[in-house]
Amino acid sequence: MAEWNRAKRKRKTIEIQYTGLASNSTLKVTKVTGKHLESMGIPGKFGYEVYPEEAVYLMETGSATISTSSGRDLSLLEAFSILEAMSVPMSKYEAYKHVKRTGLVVLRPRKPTIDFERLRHVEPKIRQKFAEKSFEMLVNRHTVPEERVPNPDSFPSFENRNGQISMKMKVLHTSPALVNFLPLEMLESIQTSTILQNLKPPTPNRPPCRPPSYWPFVDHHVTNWQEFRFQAEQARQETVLRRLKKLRPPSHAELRRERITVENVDFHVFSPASFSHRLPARPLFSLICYSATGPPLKISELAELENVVFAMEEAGKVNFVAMSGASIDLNNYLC
Amino acid sequence: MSHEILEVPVNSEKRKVEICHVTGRFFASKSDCPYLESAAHVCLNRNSAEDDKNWHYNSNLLPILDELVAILVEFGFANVIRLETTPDREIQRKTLEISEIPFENSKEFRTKRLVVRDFWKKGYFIADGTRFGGNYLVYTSSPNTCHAEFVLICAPITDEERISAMRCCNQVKKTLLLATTSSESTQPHYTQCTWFRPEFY
Repeated sequence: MAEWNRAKRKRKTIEIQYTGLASNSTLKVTKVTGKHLESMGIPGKFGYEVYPEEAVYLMETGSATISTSSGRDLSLLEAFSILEAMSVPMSKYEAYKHVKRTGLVVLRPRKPTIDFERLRHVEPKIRQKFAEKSFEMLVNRHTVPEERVPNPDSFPSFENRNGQISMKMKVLHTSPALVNFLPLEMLESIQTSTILQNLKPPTPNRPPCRPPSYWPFVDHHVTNWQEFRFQAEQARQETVLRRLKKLRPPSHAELRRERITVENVDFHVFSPASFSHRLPARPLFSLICYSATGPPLKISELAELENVVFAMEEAGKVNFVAMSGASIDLNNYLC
Repeated sequence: MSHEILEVPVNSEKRKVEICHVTGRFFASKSDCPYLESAAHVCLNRNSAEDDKNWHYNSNLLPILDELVAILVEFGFANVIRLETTPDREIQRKTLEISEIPFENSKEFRTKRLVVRDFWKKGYFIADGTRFGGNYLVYTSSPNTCHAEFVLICAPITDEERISAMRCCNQVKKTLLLATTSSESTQPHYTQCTWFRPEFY
């Protein structure tokens, strides 16, 4: 009779294999029976995988057996050592067991399945071009090109001789015709009436002016051409970066802002009525588990959490505290 | 401390219960609960009606307080074992000596251990009292049959915490006790806190 009952029980239980490897954070299910795994574990391509607290809970309720790689079944005490080996604290397991027994679906927060990179409209060619341009600018960051030197003698230079500072600057015009001015006798004998009659009227289509060879900096005071070339290169790089800013991949802060679920929680609790692994579901509330005798949480951290329930565990009993998260409106209590 | 240990008679014929240390906790088997309650007057956990009705829940491991484990090991009622993993990934049991048991090495734990030991020798039952604002709940008989008489606070607390615990104990009809120890003697000193109303004086 006992042997028959044991065989019948063995036939109806879920079989989970524990390999003992520290790299895996889940246990593999080798035999699926019943409806427990419809709301537990992770369904994958090669079968189900369960977290250690789920495996120990199934074993504690008699729905599963955990075996080692050598085929031996583990006892409940050895199953608790699995929790210790996989860094699951006892307070987390006790809170999970308590909420699970009420009938709710308790799952660990999973990674978001939506690829936020794909939602942003960035073409791969433009992305590659941005990467190449960024790489070029990073490589040529400190290289100043030897170009666009219109007149190296235009800026003054200062010399310090025995405490006396003198400035040297060459003349701007080197034409000898402009250096020697005309005498007054020749200016008086110019026939102005003849010259004025030969002047052409101004035409509406004026020829375009020649662009300057360099643009001066309004904000910076440049004293030599070396500094001028450095500032010009920096301005050019800033212009290129500003032009490519819209094509930049989104930063980590922007991705975090677009997250749907709350981060840094231990469990998400769902309603068992319409839960399915393949359908997206919004959790009823989130759960944070910690020991009552451990270090307390900061009040500044509590103010940022919304729709979060705290499970404080003390020697096998769990106390649940719900926080408002957002600031409450005190005017609602006046009337 | 050493003088009081010598007063205890060594009795090797006593049955020893296995207490396991896993994940930083101490667990005892549910089948040992009647023996511990009758012989060592240590109650592991209060049985709730929900657990009795739920036939799925067949756990036979119950958590036990660290201070109670120290008492049971000291007076010969229990042995502490720990599971170890061999290099070929097999799990074996190892019995720990009293010096090898990983108790918390702090002054607060030693104070709690002394106070719990003193209450246990007087015949009281000890349970966890975190939910009532104190450290322990002290019962005169089994926790399954009666309510607690005292809420016990061992660590030094501030006035605000004492007011909070006092108000909580007043509501639940329990007496708040403050236990203090000194370095000269091992006997704790107990102070009772009562709610005084001057209009009824």
